[in-house]
Amino acid sequence: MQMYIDCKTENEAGIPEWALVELQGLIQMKKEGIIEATVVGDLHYYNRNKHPVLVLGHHILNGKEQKLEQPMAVIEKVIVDDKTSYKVKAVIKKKLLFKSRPKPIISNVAEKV
Amino acid sequence: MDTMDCGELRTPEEARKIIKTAKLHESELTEITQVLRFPNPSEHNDRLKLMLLDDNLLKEIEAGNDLMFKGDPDENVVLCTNTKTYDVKEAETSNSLLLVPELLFAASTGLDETIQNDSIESESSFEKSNASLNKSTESDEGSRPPRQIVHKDILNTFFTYYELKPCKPRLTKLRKILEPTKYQGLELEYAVDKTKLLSYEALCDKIQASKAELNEELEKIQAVLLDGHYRLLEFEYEFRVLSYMLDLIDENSWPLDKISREITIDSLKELVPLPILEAMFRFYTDPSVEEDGVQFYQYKQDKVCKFLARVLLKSAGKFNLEEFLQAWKDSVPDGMVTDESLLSGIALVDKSSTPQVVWGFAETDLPEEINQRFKILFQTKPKWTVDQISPYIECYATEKLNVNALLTKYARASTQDGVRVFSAKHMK
Repeated sequence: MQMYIDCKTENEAGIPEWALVELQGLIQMKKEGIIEATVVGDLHYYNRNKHPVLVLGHHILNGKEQKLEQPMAVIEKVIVDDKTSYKVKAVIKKKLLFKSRPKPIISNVAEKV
Repeated sequence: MDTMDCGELRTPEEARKIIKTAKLHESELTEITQVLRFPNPSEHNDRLKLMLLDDNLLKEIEAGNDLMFKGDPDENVVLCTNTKTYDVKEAETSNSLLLVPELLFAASTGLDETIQNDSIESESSFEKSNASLNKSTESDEGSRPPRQIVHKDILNTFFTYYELKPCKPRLTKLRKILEPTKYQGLELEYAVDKTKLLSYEALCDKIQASKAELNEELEKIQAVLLDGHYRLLEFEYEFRVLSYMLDLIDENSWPLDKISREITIDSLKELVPLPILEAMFRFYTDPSVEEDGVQFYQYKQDKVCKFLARVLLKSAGKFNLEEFLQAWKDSVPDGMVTDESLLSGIALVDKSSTPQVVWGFAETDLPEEINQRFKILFQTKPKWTVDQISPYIECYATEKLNVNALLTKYARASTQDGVRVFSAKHMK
């Protein structure tokens, strides 16, 4: 049995490049039954060293932009008339890696974010 | 800001407030805040997979070349390019991998060059901004334009990805699935089960190999494309066609390096289907000289001699070596040289018996499973030199595990009359 992997792209600039954000552990949403897009956190970059910083709820994560040792492809399973094939949606060459422990935000102002 | 968007949105004011609460220092950050979101559940995409690539695969994908996953439910999946085969394994990671399309990297979020150049030290910015929090945030708020906000949705979170390793194509199945429909000559075609005939497409579908690797193997096992289906030639039939071809040498008094393809094909086209005739000519000859724009050929002597040896050895049992060597010599066209060394992999010679004997012993007749095969090998002959045993186990060798390594693993080495020999690992 063989399954075709379509690598063609309609995009004139070629196959899009997407990114990974790599975190230790797992982000869980407190809210249940989410029906619309929900904000997870705010991502900024420092001017001086280009390092990313991610504010995630009450935590700050300092990270680094990193080239992947091996690039990745994002493939999507497509089933048409019981026939399975795949489509390459994007390639990934870089990620933002947040490997240090999240630092809690110690707020002296009683303020709700 | 992406106004087309719906769902929860962050305003510039909120973003600024969060920067402040987090005790970051807005003047130290690039201009754009990217707000990461879990998308509307209907956009969450569980059909996505991540797949590690090597440089070659990345090039294939960027060039828009097609790839294939191949494998039946009972086989490990492989991925094939047009020329290479990769083993596919799923790997796990304990980190979460958040997939974000169109995420902006630092360079595209409005780096302030002057600040960047002024600053040499690194890492401690968090502490530093903490210290200067009070005085700086106030001035920020007064003079700065509203923060630019872009929302970026996390398509999915991954804990696994596919790992791809270059591997040998899995070709043993090919001969097996072609076996039931061997071509034995036109008069026996009625006996062939037509439902078992296989087209090239069907072979591509069943064999875990790239097209280039499959084509190479089809040529190697001498499968011929006849009326849209690949067919192996039955041994007797191959002998018949080869004999027709070799007889023409004598009939036309051709020197061995002056074989005419045109005359060969013309003389035999009534007797042998053209695709088989052309394929057989290709299997058994090499181009030799060109004269007056005409290309001549010569037979691959070793191949012809080996095949004719197999014909002689085909009937079961042992032959007197001397008699066999004479009969063999007589069976090949004049001028071709038979040599005992050509018997390697097709026959075994016992020089310790009186008279010396030879018998047919073909690699293709041995069991496929490696332990079974070693068992039969050592039952047939207790001690082998590397050269003797190599043709029978070469098919298991890989780049990492060569014939010697295979022998170390599956056999016991010893020295007999100064020659290194291999015997069964466990005496029975």
